[in-house]
Amino acid sequence: MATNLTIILKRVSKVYHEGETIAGVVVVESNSEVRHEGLTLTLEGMVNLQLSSKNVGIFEAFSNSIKPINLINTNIELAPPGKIPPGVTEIPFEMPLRARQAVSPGYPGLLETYHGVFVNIMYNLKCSMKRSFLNKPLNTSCQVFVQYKHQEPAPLKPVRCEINPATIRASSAAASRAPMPQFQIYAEIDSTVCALDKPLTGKIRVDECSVPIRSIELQLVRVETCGCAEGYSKDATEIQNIQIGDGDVCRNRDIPVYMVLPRLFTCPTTTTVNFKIEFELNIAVIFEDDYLVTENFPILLIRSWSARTAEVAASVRAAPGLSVRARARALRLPRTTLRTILRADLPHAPPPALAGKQQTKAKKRKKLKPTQEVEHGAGCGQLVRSGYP
Amino acid sequence: MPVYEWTSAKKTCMKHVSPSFEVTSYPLKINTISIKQSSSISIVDHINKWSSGFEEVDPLLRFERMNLDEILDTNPLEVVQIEGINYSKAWSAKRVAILNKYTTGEKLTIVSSYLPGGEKALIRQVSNLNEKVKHRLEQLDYFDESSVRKTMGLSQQEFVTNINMLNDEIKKAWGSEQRVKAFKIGIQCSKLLSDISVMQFYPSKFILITDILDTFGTLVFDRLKEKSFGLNNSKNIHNIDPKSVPESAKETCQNWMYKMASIRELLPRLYMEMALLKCYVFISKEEIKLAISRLSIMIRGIGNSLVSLYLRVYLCYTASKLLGKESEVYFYDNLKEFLEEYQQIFQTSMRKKYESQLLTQDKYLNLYVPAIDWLLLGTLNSKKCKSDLFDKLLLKCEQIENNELFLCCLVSSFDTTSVKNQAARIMEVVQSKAEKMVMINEILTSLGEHLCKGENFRQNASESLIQTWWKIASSLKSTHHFLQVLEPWLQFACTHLSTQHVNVILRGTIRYMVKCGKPVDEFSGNFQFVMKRMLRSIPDVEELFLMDAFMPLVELVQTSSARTMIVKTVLSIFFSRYTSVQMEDPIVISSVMTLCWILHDSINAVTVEDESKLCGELINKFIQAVTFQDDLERQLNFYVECRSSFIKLDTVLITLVHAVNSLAVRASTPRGKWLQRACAAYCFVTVPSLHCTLTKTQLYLLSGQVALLNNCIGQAEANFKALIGLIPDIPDYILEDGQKKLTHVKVGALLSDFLSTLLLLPDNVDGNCKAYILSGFIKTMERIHWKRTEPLYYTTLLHTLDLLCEMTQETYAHHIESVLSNDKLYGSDTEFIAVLEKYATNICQELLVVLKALGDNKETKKQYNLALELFWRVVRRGDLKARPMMSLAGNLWMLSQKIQDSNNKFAKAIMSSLQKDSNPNFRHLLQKLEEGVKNL
Repeated sequence: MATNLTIILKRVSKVYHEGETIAGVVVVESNSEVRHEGLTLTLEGMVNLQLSSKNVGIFEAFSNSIKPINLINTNIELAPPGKIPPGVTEIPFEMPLRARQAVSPGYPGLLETYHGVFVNIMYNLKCSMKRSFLNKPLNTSCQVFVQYKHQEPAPLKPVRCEINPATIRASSAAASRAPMPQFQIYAEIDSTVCALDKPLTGKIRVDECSVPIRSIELQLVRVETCGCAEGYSKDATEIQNIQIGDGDVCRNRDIPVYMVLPRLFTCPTTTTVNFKIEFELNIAVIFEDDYLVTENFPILLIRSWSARTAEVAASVRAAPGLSVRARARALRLPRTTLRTILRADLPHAPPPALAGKQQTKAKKRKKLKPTQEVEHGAGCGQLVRSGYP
Repeated sequence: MPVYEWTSAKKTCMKHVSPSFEVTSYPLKINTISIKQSSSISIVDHINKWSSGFEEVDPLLRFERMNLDEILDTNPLEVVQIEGINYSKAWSAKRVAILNKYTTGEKLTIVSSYLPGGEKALIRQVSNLNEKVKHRLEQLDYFDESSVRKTMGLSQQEFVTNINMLNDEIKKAWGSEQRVKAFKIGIQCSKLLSDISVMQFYPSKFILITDILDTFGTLVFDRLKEKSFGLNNSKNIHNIDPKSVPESAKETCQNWMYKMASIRELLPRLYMEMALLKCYVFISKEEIKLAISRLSIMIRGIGNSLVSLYLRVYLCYTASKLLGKESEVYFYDNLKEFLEEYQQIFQTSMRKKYESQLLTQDKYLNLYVPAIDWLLLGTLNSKKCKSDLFDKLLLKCEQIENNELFLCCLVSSFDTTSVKNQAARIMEVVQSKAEKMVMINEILTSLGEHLCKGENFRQNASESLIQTWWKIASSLKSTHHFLQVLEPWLQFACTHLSTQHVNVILRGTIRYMVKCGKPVDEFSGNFQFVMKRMLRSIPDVEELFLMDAFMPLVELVQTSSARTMIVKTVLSIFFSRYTSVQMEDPIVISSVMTLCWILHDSINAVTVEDESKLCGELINKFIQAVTFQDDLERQLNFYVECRSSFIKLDTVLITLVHAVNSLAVRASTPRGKWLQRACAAYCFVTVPSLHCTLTKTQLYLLSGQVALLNNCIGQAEANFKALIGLIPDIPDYILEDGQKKLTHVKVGALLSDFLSTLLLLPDNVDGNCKAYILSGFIKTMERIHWKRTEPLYYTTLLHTLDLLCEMTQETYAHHIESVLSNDKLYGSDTEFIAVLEKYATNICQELLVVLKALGDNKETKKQYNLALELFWRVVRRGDLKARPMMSLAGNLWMLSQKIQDSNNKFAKAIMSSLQKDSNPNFRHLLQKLEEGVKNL
């Protein structure tokens, strides 16, 4: 292959927000002159849905709902048919990232990139070089990551709970077993509404435990729901499991709960007509004899502002009429920085935030009774014998 | 050959007065300044002094230095020079100390998938597609948990090798763009630190593995730096500005952080974050401090106290590397965190673990010591007012249970003043828990060391301290511990309390040692240390021997070898510290005498030469120091006693002979006559028991001279006779310091000294032979078959000739008062002179034979010199009026002119002095010589 095609983006992180322009170059590298029938660049955004195998039989009838959902499909021509000289040729391009204007029912707008098990949201930049009749067209692609503009930070929603033999519900396997050890554990999450770029924090304290503890772990779980109003499949799978306590930890000491949310496998909690992506946190305490006690916290993930942006937003809300100069002085920010923030993050009310807000309301009710059972080992208050995933 | 009759010339008057004036200092004046070897010069210093001439350093020392240099070389930019302390230096010192201290003979285990050896071969024939997929998946899994190999039964050395291999593996993987592999190796290594199956080795394992993590952290940091600022930049942690870091480098850094944050297990995650801590610089400087505080809280999640404490140590170490002085607050934070978790150390589960590994509790607790010390080091530096901090921590210490470990670290880490001020309080704490405490010996030892360092402690306070201490110490179960504790406290007692107190302690020690039921020899090493300390610290060394408990204490040790060792230390320190030159106190003398006996008795046939030399030196010092002032008789008795006691050591006997000789000279009072005789007899009897003939002859000569000086003619004669009898036995070579040395120079000097002494010796009138001793000497000379051409031989002949000529004079050149020399005795009796001249003729004849022999051997130079020497003697001492003398002189001169040497200064000097002389004989001679030369 004498000809090489690559896409190089200007932004190293490859993270873009709606309304921004994806800029970069397409590099054509060749030893000889390349004759082509046109060079095109396509941005394609898709949601791929997949049904879990155990549900396939039931849901084959709803096959229409698992067709990939197209989010964006923009096409531009980089070069008309012609010749490209030998050597390295860089063709710069700019492509706007904008949601489709003509909205069909059920179109969710531009969603954040997300890699899950049953739901995948991906944006690909594809470059293709059509060539003469006998040659195959040359293709290359490059993934870009779409992130929401920052949503307004939701108020902190701390949650605390106590775990002791009285509060838990033994799973069926453990019911017949020997008596449960005596323990009293206190756990606290600083907020169930978490910003994606901030670590999830809290603390856990073992006040009393009659048997030695082997490990205390945090399990981040995604709950992906596919389907439509008539029926759906709901699957909870583990994203990551982080140990926060190793060995028989000291009693009556606050052990910090600290988890950095993984970048690719999380996204803001999303609800659309066809699918839902939700997250939960499990705190698991494993005793020396493989007893496992878990506590489940549904959490809401949002793309939040940085502290500075939040400050600016608050100021805009409080005094909308202030001039840029006056506001800059009030906030002790350089005017250029302020302008950038205003232009990039606060042009108008962020549309995806609505979904998030509705979600919070829906979740609130759930939080009141945290001993609700969820399938797949992520159930809260379960006592499972040697079966932690 | 013609025989030349020798005729000596009579010199009319030799009295000529040289100009003189009185001086106060002259080279032979006895130097009264006694030079003491200062005790501080240890044997190592001596060795260093000796080896300083060589360029080569001791190879082991060189490695040590190289290591230090390396540390200083590799990161000069990272070393933060702050006032007070250099953490990287402190760390490297600590590192070496830990590696040396915590070793094990147990078998170790490594779990890793990156070590070569035991590599599973995954290549196999694949047939269908299903197999192929399976195979591919297996290969992908290759580096996953499933293929982790456990290497068991490693010795410590193998373990270290493996760890070093992993270190290289990281570098290799990094170099070959396999950065994730490097990351994984890092994780696996830090996982090894959760394994406490061989606890004793844990601190060393920690050091080895953190080295790997440091390597990894540096690799990541360097790459990010290169990404940000290009290959050759002089940036370091302290001058990187996050704002100037390009987006791509920041992105890479973020990726590392995300990767690190997703490590499942807590311990490796924490270790890796610490290793990558410095990379936060590329994102934001503030982040580092936040991360450190967060990490110090997150460590709470580690349940095992040993693992978590060392984790804190690594955190503080990385913090100190990054922040220098600013990091000290984190040291304190972590110390506080540790104190909160303090009781975890004493959990029953831990107890079961260390007991199953056969560790005693104090050994187990000792594993924590270096780590706590490190935390305290930083904490101490952060505080201006150390005594306040000490107060606070001590209060904490009083409150918690099982406080010995923390107390021990506190006492050993803090400065002397703070500890000293609280000494009473510390003692109280210790006393209240004395029965249960484990590390009591270490606490007391370091407290004692502090007290020794401190000055001007109040008298009554130190008394009560010592009393409390004694109560605790005397109830210690282990004798080792007791002696260990005794060492510094005894010094404290010596320097701060009266001798009575020390004596009481010593008595107590004896009681303890007797009571403990074991032979003291087992502890002779510790015992020796105690002795050393005491001897060095007591203000007046002599006082020790005045205590009634000291000697029994020394004699507590039963085995002769151990006892000898102790005696040797006692004596050598005693003499190095002993300030006055003389030893007078009879108690001290008898005590030291006893010690010397012990020392002497230890010498037997198999003792090494150096050993006996050292003993000899010590005993010599003793003999030289002892004095009974004017009681010379007692002094002699003492020497007699010494001789009977130390008969095995030649050097001691030599010293004794010298000492007795000087005693004899001192005994000049009229009633000292018999003492002088006794001394002479002593010497005469002592000398034969020596081994070395040369020394014997020298001592005979000396003793004879002294006897002569004291007018003990008979004794002098006996000595000289013995000397002459020994001359044939003097060997050509003697062994000195393992080297063969020629004796002829010494013998020459000895003989000429002897001959000049003979001039003074009055002849034995009873004998029928004139010049009895001299004739004996000449006969002996004839009997020895010396080689004729030997310079020693003919020089001795020349000297004898000189003596013979001198003896013919009417008045001798020098006299000893009260000794009647031959000139007075014979009054130039013709018979006597005839005898002498006969000898002279014979000797002259012999010399001519020698001249001929030299000529035959073609040793022209020697011949020429001898001819001139003889010529000179003939001219000066012979009577030239006699014909034979004149012709002999002429012939000798002719001979010398014939074989004239290029260097004829000697001949010219002789000539010129002859020409100046106005003696008519010389004129005649000169005339003749000139004629002779013309005829030539």
